[in-house]
Amino acid sequence: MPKFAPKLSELKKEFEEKPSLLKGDYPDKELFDTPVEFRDGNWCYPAKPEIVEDLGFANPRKWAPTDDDWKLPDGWEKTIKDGMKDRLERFRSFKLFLDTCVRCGACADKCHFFLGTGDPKNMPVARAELIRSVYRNDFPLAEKILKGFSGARKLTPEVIKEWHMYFHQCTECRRCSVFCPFGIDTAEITMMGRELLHLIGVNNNWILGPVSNCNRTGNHLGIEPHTFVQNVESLAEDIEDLTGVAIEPTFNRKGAEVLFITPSGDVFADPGVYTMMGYLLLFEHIGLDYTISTYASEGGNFGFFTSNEMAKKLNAKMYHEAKRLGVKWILGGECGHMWRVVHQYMDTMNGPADFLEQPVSPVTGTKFSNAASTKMVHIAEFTADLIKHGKLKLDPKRNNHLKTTFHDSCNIARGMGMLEEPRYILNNVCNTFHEMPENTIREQTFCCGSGSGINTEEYMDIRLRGGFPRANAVRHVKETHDVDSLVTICAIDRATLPALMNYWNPGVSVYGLHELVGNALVMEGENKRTEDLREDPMAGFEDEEDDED
Amino acid sequence: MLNLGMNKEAVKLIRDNRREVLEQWHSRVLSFFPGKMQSATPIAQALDDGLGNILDSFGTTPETLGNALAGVVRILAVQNFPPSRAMSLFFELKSILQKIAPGTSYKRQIKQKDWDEFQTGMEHLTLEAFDSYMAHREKIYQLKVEESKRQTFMMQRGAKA
Ligand code: SF4
Ligand code: SF4
Repeated sequence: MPKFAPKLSELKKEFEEKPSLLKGDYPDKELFDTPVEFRDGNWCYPAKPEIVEDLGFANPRKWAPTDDDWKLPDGWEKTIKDGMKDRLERFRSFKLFLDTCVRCGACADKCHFFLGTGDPKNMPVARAELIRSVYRNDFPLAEKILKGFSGARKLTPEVIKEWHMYFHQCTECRRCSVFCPFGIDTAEITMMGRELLHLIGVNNNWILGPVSNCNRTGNHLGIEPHTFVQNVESLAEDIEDLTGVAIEPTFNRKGAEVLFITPSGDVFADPGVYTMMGYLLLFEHIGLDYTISTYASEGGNFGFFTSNEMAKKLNAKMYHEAKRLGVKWILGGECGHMWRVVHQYMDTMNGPADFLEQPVSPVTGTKFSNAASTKMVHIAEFTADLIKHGKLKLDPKRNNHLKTTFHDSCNIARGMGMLEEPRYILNNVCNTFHEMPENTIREQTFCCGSGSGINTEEYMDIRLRGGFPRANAVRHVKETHDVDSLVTICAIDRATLPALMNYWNPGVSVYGLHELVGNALVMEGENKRTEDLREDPMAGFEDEEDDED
Repeated sequence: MLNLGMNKEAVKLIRDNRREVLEQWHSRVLSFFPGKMQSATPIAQALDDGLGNILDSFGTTPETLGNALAGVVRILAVQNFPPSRAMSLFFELKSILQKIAPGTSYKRQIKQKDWDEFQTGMEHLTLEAFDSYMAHREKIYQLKVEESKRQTFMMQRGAKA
């Protein structure tokens, strides 16, 4: 039973005090009879026909959610029903989650989209009901078992519109599942919902664009290998200017011990690039024998937001490249959904990677037995181990100009259970770490509001609503501890939290964990440091003062 | 800057009945939301704080009031309801005060002149709220531009170099 599942007495209390579908506070008539309304700010641009075609996805055409007619393909109802049947057979969890829910309501107020919009259709139980109601209609056996509160529904274009809207107001964060007495994971229902929508060409350009780029060039932005190399080299030059330390990363080098893969946002986007500088400094500091691939040049996997098959295809390049280069194991950078895929799916999707070795830290000798099957280690585990063994020379005072808090990325905290390592590192590289309130961190962390491929600009209104619970928790530490720096270990967080902070908590900046590591690392032969990796002045290291070290 | 000439009698009425005024105002604002925002949510709590701040800043400095106003409008400006509903914020407050004024009639307790002055104050505030609403909408557009710039940071850097 999940750790946070409520006790019976609590459930009773919740049931009596809180609005619930079961009590009829939201009569399902009202719930499902209010038609969805697409207007600016609440829909993502649909995928361009050429992208859909290029990927071999269904129904390429020009359309928009605001159109009356979505130009669904002939026989789309059958496609959805067959697709549902197929998935019910293939994925046991999907069937189990549809059948098991008792509508106790424990998940209802746990979703950041419900909390941020007040829209009852954003209660996880209602989200699942979007599919369940159709399932009941079309799979009569289930109807017999489920004497439901809501009647079965016919599949109509209106239902599809509702699915599109509400499966894009779920970031697949799994917060709801933590509180469900049965561990029902609405994120998986959303994944199935989105897969089904893809079968009839109801999609999102922000997801399919990067998928297509990844498919072609290996990374989201479609950066060609030479540009990728130029970017990393230019960051190495910045490091040299700033610290005097010359770093020469290698690319596609056969025979390196470790292949390093990180989300490409770290190579081209602000503030991800500063995190990349942190990795480069760290690897130089310990003399790691590593290489970076220009083919497996993306840790992220937006395929994961389309279909199981596409996720598998895009993920495969990690092992392909590890094999081609003959490395011993893979080290992965700071990312959220990349780790969900690696941790939960890679081994069965594209493994076993028996051509790799169980990862061993070349510096400390630690065997990463948790990565024995995937052969891929998370950078936070790797760095925490280095610190634990006293292998890093760190000066946490170099981050004294930042007052920090830490945002647990959903996929790292809930998806792979990594809670302590980032905190351990943060406490060793800065002196000013303050936790946000307990019910908003660790397993109970609130999503950034932009995960699962909805971090597109035209969707900003929804993102700002969904991100409110997270922002509100940051506001709390901002007010109580003057926190001005939100540290994350996810590339989507680094891309999207700056806007969320700028709107709700102006004055709070977003950092990657390894950027702070990079600030704190005392490198051999370095120049006197007065600025951090962003070239912002460090506190207490001003030029005129004597060296405080 | 807000120049509200907020009527002293009205401010006193609000101070004396703060809890009741806030409770009712809060509840009305929560019903702006489709499905009515539940009171245990972070949004509802932030609105409770924010509306309370507005009430407390009546009769203080225009700056305090302006900040308090922005705190609430920031929340309203990203919601799924039309601006007209968000802007009815102070109409709601006015009607609550009318009902809460002790005795049978508001006018019997507070002179017509004071009441008129209070009305004018609420109208001014609505205009200020409108400006703040638009400023927040513009900020959202700005966030979008900044976000796309950040996403192509290295490309732009390359282009400049
Ligand atoms: S998903 Fe779980 S917590 Fe939510 S209503 Fe169903 S049984 Fe209860
Ligand atoms: S997975 Fe997250 S976003 Fe989706 S319904 Fe559950 S809590 Fe909400």
